Amino acid sequence: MGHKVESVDGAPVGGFQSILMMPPAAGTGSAGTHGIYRAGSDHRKDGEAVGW
Amino acid sequence: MLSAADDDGNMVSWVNSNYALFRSGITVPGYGFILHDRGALFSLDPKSPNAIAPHKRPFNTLASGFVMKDAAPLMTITLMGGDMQAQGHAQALVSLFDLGANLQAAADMARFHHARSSASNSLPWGTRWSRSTVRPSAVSNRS
Repeated sequence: MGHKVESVDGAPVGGFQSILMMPPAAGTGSAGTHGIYRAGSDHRKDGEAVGW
Repeated sequence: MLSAADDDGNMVSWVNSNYALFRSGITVPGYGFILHDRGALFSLDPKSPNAIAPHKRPFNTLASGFVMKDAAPLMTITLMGGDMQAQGHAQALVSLFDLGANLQAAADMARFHHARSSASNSLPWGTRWSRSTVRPSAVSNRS
């Protein structure tokens, strides 16, 4: 029973990209992004997060 | 696959796939791309909820995602790779919200892929992971 665990290269575990809108500072309302996004991208695949 | 956001707070989480081989082999004249063949995922069993029928789309793995807060998008989460998508989303969100990782750390963390079989379960071996970090013998026989 159980699983035969094997190590693999990156592709079988997918490629991740994400952008998080940072919450507004207290007392500044909720509109817009307040100039701050955070991002992450998978080093196993494209591994790129670009902002401008 | 794409995650994008603009300065007005609009966000896009996008996963594209043409599916197998040369896909449908049908192009749209003047547009230069090939249509997918995801219709192959329909079931021919009329009792199946995934049975082929007009105006239906087949069950498939494509799952671009958002995390919502107060009915507004907070975060894109895009993770391609067949049936890795839903389980990868879950692992990344655990890394973010339960383990306190930032987005890049969550992207870099080791992930497992359950291959719908007890015969195989995989762990990543990305460039930042050494064999001393990921030791299959340490986790084998733990389902």
